[in-house]
Amino acid sequence: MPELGRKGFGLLSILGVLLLWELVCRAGLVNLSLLPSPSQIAPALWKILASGSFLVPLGQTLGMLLIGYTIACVAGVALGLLMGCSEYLYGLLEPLVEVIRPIPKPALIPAMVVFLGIGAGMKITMVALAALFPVLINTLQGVRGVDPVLLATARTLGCSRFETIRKIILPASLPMILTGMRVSLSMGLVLVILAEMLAAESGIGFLILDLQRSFQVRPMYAWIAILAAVGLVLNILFEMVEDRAVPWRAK
Amino acid sequence: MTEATAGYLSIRDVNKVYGGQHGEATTALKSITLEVKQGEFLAILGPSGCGKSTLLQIVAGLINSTAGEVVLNGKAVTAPPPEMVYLFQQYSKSLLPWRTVEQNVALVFESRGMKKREIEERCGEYLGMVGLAGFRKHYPWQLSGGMQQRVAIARALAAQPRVLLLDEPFSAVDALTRIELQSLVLDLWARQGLTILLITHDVDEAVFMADRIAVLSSRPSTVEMVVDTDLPRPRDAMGTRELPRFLQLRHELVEHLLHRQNAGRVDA
Repeated sequence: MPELGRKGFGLLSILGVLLLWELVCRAGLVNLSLLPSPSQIAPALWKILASGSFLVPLGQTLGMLLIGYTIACVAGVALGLLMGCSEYLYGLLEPLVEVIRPIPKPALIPAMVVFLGIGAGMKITMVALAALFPVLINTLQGVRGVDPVLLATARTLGCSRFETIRKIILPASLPMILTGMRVSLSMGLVLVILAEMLAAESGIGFLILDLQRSFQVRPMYAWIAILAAVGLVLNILFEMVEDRAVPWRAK
Repeated sequence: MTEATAGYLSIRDVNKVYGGQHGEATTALKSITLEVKQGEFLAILGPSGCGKSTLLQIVAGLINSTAGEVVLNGKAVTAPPPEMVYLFQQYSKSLLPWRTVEQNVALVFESRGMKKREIEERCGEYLGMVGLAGFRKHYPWQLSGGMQQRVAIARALAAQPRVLLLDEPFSAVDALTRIELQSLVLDLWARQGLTILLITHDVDEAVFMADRIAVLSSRPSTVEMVVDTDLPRPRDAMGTRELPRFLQLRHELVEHLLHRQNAGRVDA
């Protein structure tokens, strides 16, 4: 099946679920004030989109996400490279990483609120913390997995240590690094929404909780739909970056 | 052979033992001693798993020996010397897939502070030598195995080595390509005045290419014998292989290796 045809075919399952949902609602099987039908949510969604009122919360949420994510990517790659290239640093830092990594990051939100308040600093920190580890671990694995033949080739051709890291180890680990970054992106999105729900006065997470509390069920669902679209778009953008950055991987 | 100088590259009593401490120690190489003259083409022939690659990597300074030393031009080899380049069998692993053919060769020039224009010129020159002038902008994975190994050869030569260490460089390509690459390497060896150590398990290849052949035994590896090929140069892919001396030598070596292999089976 051609690429477009396959994607089109997959759309059928989405349409099927929406249709079933609609039917369940119309048949009166659920309380419509608690679970509105897609056809009832759609106008609410349209209203948010058409009025442009989605721009500010979306901007707030994405802003926090991207700042925290960028910090995590830079720190994760740097730490992963250092730990992967130096047995000494690996021995020193690996236990620390293994102690902090398993903590479910949302559990740290209350602590961070005490520490940093409910502003941007807390949200950025939470995103960065959650997004750091997948990047770090994958970078580390990528670096340690570089083929010994490649490293020996660099040595026999007279590449310096720094040159080897920059020109061989870093690009060779890039596929793994990008895999980590992709996982981190969705982790970051989860954390920013959660942080906004638990402790914030702005952003999409805050808005969804606020709408639920004021019983505005249809716009609440509309925002969830917007979040789904955000996640999807971020993933598609990431895939495009990946394809351009590691064209040799597919071969 | 006439221009060859003695005592250029010496492998002196080299031993390599793996393991020990906890597991059982395996002796891979035992008292290997070989003298290689400058400008010589020496083949090291031995069965698979006999530790040939280990020996060559010790010569290259890529791994350490347990005992013994390698001396190049009067200096003990402890790290990869700039005048020696190791060419791996696995060209697909030694080429950088994110770099074009030209950029792969450029790797060796970049650290030498050359200008971009000059690097391009030099890359073109070396790619021309291996017949890949028209493939500068291709990526390695767009080329056949034989062409990829040509890129690796061009890159190795670009590093301007005096000694080239070849680790079964043709064993992963098809038979016809192998014959082509053998002639190419012989041609480059003669033109660049290189000293070459070639590791192979292919008797035909060893006899066809080398001045001398050192035969290694299986583990623990020792040098069983060293023979002069004594075949005229330049060697011809077809003609040389039809000479009585070639056939006789190949016969002797194959017989020796087969006999030893069978003896080994009886012992086991």
